[in-house]
Amino acid sequence: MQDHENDDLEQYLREFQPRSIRRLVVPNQAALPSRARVEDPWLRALTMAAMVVLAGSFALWYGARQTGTPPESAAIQGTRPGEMRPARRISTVALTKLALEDSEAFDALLAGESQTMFPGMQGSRSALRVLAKP
Amino acid sequence: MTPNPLNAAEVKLLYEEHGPALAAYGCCCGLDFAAADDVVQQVFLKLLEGRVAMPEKPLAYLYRAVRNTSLNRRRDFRHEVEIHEEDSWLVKQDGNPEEALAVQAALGDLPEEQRETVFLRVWSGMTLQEIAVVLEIPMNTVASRYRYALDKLRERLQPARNARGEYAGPRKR
Repeated sequence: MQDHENDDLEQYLREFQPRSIRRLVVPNQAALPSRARVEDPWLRALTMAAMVVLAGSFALWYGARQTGTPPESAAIQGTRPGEMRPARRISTVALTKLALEDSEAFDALLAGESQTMFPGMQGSRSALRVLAKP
Repeated sequence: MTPNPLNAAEVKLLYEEHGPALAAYGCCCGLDFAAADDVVQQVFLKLLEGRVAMPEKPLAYLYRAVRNTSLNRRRDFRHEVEIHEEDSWLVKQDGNPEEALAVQAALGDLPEEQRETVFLRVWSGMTLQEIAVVLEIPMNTVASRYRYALDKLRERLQPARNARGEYAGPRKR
């Protein structure tokens, strides 16, 4: 009985409708932020592909640039005893090769490198002076 | 997975279909009609700009958005809002405007939580379960609010319905 009365009342209320409202003001497409405009999945896929191609090209160019540098052994061969050079990274293979082929140059290279890497031992007030060769 | 934002045509379609009911719902939340109209425009503009992604239940989202925005607006402009009696948000085709105002006034006398429950059930066509989702309350609470609201409305609207010769009072049990 109560349900029937509720249905009657609902039916009565539904005779009334919400008042209409003004039209939706759609802003100009150009005024919308780019996030709303770039929604085409094909466009998104193309953008991604272009980015991958760019990244690949950069990696290839960088790799080619690296292989074009002169080998370390060539630089080591040109080292003279007592020559001061800035500290640099020398591979173990190149050092071994130098040690086998020219032990004098190898000693000179190590002596030179040690001067740039270790604390001085030559000075009269050096704490490591006792270790230095006379 | 994040749902995609709607395109402009889909947003317009939603607006045309649900805009008037959403504005009336804004009135149920305590706004005058012009302010409720603004709130609905604001909610749909956000959709158009892609600032929000439409969830799986668009209707529930829209009603919740209108409700929250209306409550915020009412709080921000609480000293300025003055709802006039004649500010109608319900109309009846070929009907007496005074009858629509009587229904509106009867709804206005309900506590807010009962009023919005009736609105969502009658004019938005939602099930009690869907209303519970929009209002974020248990379904039993929705059901009891709705029952109390209908009892009050029946009593309040009895004279108007009697005048139409439609309603002869509660049936004898």
